[in-house]
Amino acid sequence: MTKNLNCLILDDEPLAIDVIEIYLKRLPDIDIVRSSNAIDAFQIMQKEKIDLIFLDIEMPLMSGLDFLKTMKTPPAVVITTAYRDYAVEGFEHDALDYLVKPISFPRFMKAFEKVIKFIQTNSTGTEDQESDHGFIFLKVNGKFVKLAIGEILYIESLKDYIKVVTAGKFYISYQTLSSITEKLPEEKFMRIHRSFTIAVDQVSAVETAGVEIAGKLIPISRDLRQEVIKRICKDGHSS
Amino acid sequence: MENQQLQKEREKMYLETELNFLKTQINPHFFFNTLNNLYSLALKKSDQTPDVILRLSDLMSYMLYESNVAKVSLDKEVNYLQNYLDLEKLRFGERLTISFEMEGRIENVYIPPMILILFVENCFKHGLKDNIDQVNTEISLKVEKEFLFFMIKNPVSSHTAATGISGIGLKNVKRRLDLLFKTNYQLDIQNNGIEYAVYLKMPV
Repeated sequence: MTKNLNCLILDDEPLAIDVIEIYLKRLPDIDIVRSSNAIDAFQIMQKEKIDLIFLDIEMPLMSGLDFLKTMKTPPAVVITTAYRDYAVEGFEHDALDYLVKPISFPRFMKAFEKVIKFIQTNSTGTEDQESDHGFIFLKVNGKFVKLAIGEILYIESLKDYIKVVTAGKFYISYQTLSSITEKLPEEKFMRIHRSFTIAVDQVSAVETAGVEIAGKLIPISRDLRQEVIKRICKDGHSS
Repeated sequence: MENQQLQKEREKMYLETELNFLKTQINPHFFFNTLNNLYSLALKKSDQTPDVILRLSDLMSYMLYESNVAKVSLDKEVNYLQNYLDLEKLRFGERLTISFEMEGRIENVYIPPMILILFVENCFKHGLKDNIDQVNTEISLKVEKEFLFFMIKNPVSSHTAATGISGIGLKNVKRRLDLLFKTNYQLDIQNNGIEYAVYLKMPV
């Protein structure tokens, strides 16, 4: 049973909405809602669940960026604008892509594929059992880096940033350890310390001070010790 | 004697340079938004497409080739305004209604180019930016006894009651009018929080 993707197109110019609508109609399983200003969009979003917003920036009363700021947990957002110079700010608000008008269909599709991946990754923990094949997008230096969840060894918290470590690389991204831990599949990852979330199956040794992953000793917080060791052992039995 | 002549010429050159510099350029976003709307029309194979292309072409031709002179005929400038208004109407659809009234003869009347457009752009900026309802814009143009009377107004939302000459565009146009007509013109800009209105009287 697949649910249609509910898309909101928010733009104060009707012809600009038409373009996105025409493109979306070429794709299967999509519902479309049109809105010409932020006030109406708020009301729509209270009434129904929106999965994806195509968002214009220059709009009356409230700009697209301000609209984004008001949302605590915004859905996937793709910015559409005639302005070339808001891209950086757009990405700061976690927009998935930034489309400059006029928007070609191939460019639109590129953004749409990003959205689909984003939505799939975000729904992993609950529906998708094959989380090894999932991806996560990390914002690194203003770019979105696509990272296979299976590659992650551990994640370390660095104040407002996190350091995501894989076998050969690491990525610094601006978000909290709690927020990324929530996005990762529970059966594979565990937060074992205030500053560390680990991939349980990557542990190569356990000692008093902590666990070892790829040669690095990672501390376990004292009250989680029992639980962590239990979990690691259980993981070892099942595989 | 010769020195004085040179000095005068230099001053004149300086003024011309300044006047050119002050001439308004339409906001580049206007073009990209218009192109996007045109793209939208073409995508759905609308019958409007050719007409819009011609209007845009007319508008650009005037901006690039015909307005680089000290004075243009009023009917050309009006034609330019009309093209601009039609393209804006295309962008904002039913949200924008415009009434444009003209009185007196506009043939063989000459004015400095690209002054009126700035007030139109500004009016839209105030009216359309802060308003999600329908915006009715009224424009009137009258030529009477060697003077042009121009008026534009539209409603604005109450919470952005900016007044008077603000913004670099308006400052530039004011400076241009000063240089061109000294005290022989009148410009009155009102914004009472409900309505934004510009009244301009200048010699022709």
